[in-house]
Amino acid sequence: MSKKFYFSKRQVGYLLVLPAFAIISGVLFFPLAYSVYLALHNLHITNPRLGVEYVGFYNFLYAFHDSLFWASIINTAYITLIDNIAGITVGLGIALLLNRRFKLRGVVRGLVLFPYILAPIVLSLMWKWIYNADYGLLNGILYRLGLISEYRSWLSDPWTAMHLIIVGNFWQGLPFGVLFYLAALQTIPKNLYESARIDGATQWKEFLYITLPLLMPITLVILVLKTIWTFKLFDIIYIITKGGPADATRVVAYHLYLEGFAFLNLGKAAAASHILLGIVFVITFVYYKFLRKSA
Amino acid sequence: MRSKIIKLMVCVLLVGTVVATGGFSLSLAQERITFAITPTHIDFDLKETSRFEQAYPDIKVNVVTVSYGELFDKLSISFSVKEPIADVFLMDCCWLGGFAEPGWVEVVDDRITPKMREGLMDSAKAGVIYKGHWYGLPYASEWQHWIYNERMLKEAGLANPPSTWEEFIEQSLKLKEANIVKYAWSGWWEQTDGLTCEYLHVLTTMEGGSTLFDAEGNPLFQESAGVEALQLMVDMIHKYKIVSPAALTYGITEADNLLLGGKAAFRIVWMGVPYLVLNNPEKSKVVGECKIGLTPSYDGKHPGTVAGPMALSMYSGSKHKEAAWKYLTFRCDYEGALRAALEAGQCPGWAKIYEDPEFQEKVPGLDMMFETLKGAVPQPAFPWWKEADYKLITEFHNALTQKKSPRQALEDAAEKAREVRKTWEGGK
Amino acid sequence: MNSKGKLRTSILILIVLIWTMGPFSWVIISSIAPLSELIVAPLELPSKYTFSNYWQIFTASPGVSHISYQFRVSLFNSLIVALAVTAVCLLAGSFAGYGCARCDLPFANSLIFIVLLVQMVPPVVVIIPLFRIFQMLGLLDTRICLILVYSAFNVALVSWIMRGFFESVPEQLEEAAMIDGCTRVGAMFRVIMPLSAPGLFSAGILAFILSWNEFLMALVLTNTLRSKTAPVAISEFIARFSLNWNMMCTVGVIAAIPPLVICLGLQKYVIAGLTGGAVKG
Repeated sequence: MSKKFYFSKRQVGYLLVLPAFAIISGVLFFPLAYSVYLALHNLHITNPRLGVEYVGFYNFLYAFHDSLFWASIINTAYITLIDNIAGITVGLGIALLLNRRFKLRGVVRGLVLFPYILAPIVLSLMWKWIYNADYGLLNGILYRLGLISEYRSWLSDPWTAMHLIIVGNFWQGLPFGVLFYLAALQTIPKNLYESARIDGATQWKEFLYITLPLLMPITLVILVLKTIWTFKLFDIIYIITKGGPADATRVVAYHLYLEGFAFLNLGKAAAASHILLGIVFVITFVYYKFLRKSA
Repeated sequence: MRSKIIKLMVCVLLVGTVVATGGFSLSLAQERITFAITPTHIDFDLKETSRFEQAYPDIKVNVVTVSYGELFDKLSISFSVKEPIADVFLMDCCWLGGFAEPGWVEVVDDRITPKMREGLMDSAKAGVIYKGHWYGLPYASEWQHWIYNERMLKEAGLANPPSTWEEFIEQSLKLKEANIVKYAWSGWWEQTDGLTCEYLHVLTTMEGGSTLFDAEGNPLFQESAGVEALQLMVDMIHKYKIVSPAALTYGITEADNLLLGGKAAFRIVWMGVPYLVLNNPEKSKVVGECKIGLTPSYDGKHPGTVAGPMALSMYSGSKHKEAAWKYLTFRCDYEGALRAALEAGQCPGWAKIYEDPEFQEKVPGLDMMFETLKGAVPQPAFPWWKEADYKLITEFHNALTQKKSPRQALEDAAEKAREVRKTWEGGK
Repeated sequence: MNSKGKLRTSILILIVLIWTMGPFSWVIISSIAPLSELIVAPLELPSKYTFSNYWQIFTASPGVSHISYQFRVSLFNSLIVALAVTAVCLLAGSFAGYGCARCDLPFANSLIFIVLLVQMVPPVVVIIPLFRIFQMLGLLDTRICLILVYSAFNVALVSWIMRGFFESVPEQLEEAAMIDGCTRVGAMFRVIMPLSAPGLFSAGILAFILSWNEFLMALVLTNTLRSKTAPVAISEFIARFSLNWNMMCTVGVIAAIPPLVICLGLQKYVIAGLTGGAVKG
């Protein structure tokens, strides 16, 4: 089959990449640019008589001074921190466990994946039911085990509500760490362990001096991806607590949703979202540099 | 194998595209309008709609249900981008300002007959009239009722329902001691505007308490009456333990169900015509036990309540205004409102209906209902109220979870409300 | 491993399984128990079971039980959108992945960074301008707009996964095909893709799951049953039927069927897709 025009390898490459690039640009990059426009204006949607007003960097300044916005970032950062620490440690532990040979290993690995691919909506529903103050599973189990003398409304107290949300989110994110660690563990050459054993190393020493260092790159990957994803956390909050009680579980995605879609402060929401994007970008950039170095 | 995969992918893509772009509605000779409503009485709404379509065969009505918590947001956004989700929609009195100021709701002054003007109840006015103009027709013009379970009180040896808050607390504690109910009052106190309405209800019964804002929009709730009201609510949970801490997570259904299930003795309800629900054996386990009462007050002489009339309104940019108006009048004129009252328990906004013999026969407790209406205050209808309400509710929760004192919480809320108003009026 | 170690391992695995499947098992139990058995305190395992909720979801007609009809339609919408997104992502993603794997593109090595860039954009950031843009295009509340948005968020990931798989196929195979007269693109279709079928499967499943699960954008961009997806419908039920837990659990179980199926049968594809690229870098 002969072609009229001869495309160089590169040109074919660019053509091949075009569809994906077009979709991403149209749906992501272009709106991001438009949101910059939004951030520089106040559309006065609820009072159209005032028209569209150019406000320069006012919305950004407002976001910097908005204690509610920073509170939501701190809430999100707190959730991320605990989720990362727990996810790394427990994830590694389970990965080590699943790395051993036992019957039905494939089945167990598949089941472990379940929380991660379950729809966040369904798992929000699940935890809402489990945490229910009057009939929930958590209350039921704790009561029957004798740990509490009467049912408690866990979601009515800011501190417990926040931590139960963290548990729910942790439940979902754990398989991610497990799978990545498992895959990484399987790339460690077995002869490293064998030679260590010949030299008389204990299991603990093997873990400390061989396994852990070799897992550093993947740990970094997991940390950064988990951080990025936790900053997107929305569904659980929307379904279970709606940011409450008393804004204790107000995460940044929910805050932006309220600003933009409940209060119709599109300009302020856009500006705040750019600041958020900046924060996430810095984290990603740091990761990229580290990965490049260790590669 | 390879060609099979390719063929499969192409097929999937084709099918996907075709089906996904499907939903082209065939254009018929019929005019189509959309009606957005909360799903509370959806069966009745669908029945009414099919009756309407039979009466007007050239108009087709598409009924869209949106939950109450999202209806205002979805309507606002869709109006703001001129892509309305509905031509006719349910409007709550506290949204009226927010929709009327930007001109999103059709002004219907010239469609209103003198009979309608005269026939409108005072309590229904706030739902349809804003700054002197009519913005719809009354629908579900209800107000909050204070309900108490007579049987439980009698069982505890209490002859009369409480008339002061002290009596109320005493009675609730007695009920608790006698093991009749653990938490005497069932509150809808989750972080939504239902909490504001219950707070406002309590506020009206306090000394000097009237409304949340004055006519210009200056907050009044941070004054002594407001602080007392909030302090009472905080004490009910933490000091006297007559309201469950779980009330902070209850939606209206859960809170109502405690009363209907015989697990609470007192409640403020939004039930339209309360006895129709309270004595309906399908919904209630306490048939015949509950009575409408006068809310306790600081001195026993100032019961109050909150009016929450609603309306059906039209989108001002609708391309089917005549058809929409036909639907509006079908649902909300005298006959429509009577049907709504008898079949769905909705409070009519037309005074004449309350004198209708059929209505009086089927709807019990009218005397008491009107008695409670005497002390009714309206909800705020300022255009910036929605955002201010959010901030107010957060502060309520701060007080109810004891993160802040009621005085501090209300002062902060007043500050935030002033800010929101300033921004709306022309600040940035 | 000695027997004591084996016992310890088994117990630990059992704990992991309880932690993983326990909470959802309760949802399954709740969906088949009558409501009266669930709203009891202290908690008791229901003694009677019935599948009436499932029956109701699948057979009730509109007006009789509105929620069932809405849920069925939303399931259908979710399915259409997810399938279409999978198709679009696999095509566009394979092309892009192949281009990056074989065509010496300068940014090919930054592909991972681009993937991350896309991944890290919180949807809430783009949803605000996207809403207005789709309104201007008249595409609000349509399945097309969901398909476009989900494809944009997933195609980078698919490209990256496919590139990983393509790179593991020796280049000589294509060269042989091209010597025989194929174009490069032709070689891609005839030689590489079939060999990367597992990769396609993995990426396809991931794209499917990510669109099936997505909530925030569907919440904002859809209104009516024309395009409402299952997660949005479920959130409405949660708001509306705050006490009808057994019905809500039923709805939750049905919506969880795709993930369950994948976990029990296709998990190795998901795992390969997720981890394949990451570990190699």
